[in-house]
Amino acid sequence: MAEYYGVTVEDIFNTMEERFRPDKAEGIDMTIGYDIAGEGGGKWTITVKDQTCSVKKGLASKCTVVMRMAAQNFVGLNLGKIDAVSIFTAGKVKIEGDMEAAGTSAKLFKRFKAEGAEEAEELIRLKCVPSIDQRFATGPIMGRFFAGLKERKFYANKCPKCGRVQIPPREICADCRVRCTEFVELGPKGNLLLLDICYYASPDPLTGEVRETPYAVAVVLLEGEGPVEKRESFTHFIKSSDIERANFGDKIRPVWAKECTGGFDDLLYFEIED
Amino acid sequence: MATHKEDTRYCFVQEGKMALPNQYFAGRVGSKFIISLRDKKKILGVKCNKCNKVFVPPREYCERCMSRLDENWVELSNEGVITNYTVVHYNDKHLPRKAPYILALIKLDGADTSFPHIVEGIEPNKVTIGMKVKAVFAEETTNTILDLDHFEPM
Repeated sequence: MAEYYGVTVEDIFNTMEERFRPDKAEGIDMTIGYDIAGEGGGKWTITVKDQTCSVKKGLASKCTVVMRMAAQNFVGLNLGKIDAVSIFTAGKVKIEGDMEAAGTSAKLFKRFKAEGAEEAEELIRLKCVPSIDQRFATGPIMGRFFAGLKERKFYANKCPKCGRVQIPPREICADCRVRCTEFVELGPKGNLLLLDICYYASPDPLTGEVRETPYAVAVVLLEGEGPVEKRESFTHFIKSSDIERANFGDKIRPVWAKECTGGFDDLLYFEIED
Repeated sequence: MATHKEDTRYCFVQEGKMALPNQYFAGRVGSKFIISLRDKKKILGVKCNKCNKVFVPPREYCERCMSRLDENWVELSNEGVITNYTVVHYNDKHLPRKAPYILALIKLDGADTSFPHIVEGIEPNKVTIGMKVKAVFAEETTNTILDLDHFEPM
């Protein structure tokens, strides 16, 4: 039988009835199904009713909630080796049915303790999401770009010396270091140059919430006049469902927010034009 | 010098927020320190037998001789003296108190190091170095250093 952290999936289920805490189960009536994948896995059903608990092999036809996960993750969760919230947000636990019941079920049992294992010392870990207010003064050039987004238009500016078109526009030409005052409109359509696909569930800095993965940043060349080598590419998200089928040179178009207010979230993402 | 009149038609301010998910691990030594504040209302330190110094808050190694200290726990008095202080005069949502409040360095009886904490129950302009203070523990605990809520003059 496959062991994870020195414990098998069966060890966990076999001890569930004795680890059950009737004092926490008052008024609870639920059937919890487990579908554990991988070596040593299988299907189990736990029925909690009238402050008693019974464990049976196989999945009952009617469950309040069914949780599906890999054997290693199941054992890790029960031993406290894996954090429940992280593993859930990473999409490694699938919950079908009553989400609340899934949360409740964790409180109904004492922590599994392997034979001979010492009581773990309590360690303190603090989690918090400090929120910091930000103010960004656009200035006249970036402000023009944001004002353009409100009209669903992309404004770039052009260097009077070398003719290079910069997007987002900047006060001076990055090459010639002279003021750029002439604005030109680009896009709104363009072509995909490259994708930067991110599989790490990084938090969205504006909300602190974990982003869905994978997400991708697309580097696009917006349509415009003049030679391609004199036009900067522009970077923004691409629609998640387009990541798989995206190819170099694909025609893309912007997808805008329902209401554009002149902010950087007016442009939601680019999508591939069929 | 000629002044250049900037076109400000497109100048505006974008308001935003930045959330920073954060996790702080107190470590084994730090956890024991906080748990003792929380459950026993006792302040613990560690002693270096070689240097004959008592450190509060506790640390794993002696800063002078690098000896390992995490087995040499000592219990300290809940009383001590203010060795220095400052008065915080600005408000910020991340700060533990509304301004003005006193942030003092406190050396507990039996300790060789001072550590910063809040002093309450005295006007900021009345606080002095050398003043005797005692610990007041929090009724509602939060698993933080604020389980020792503040110090007050004796």
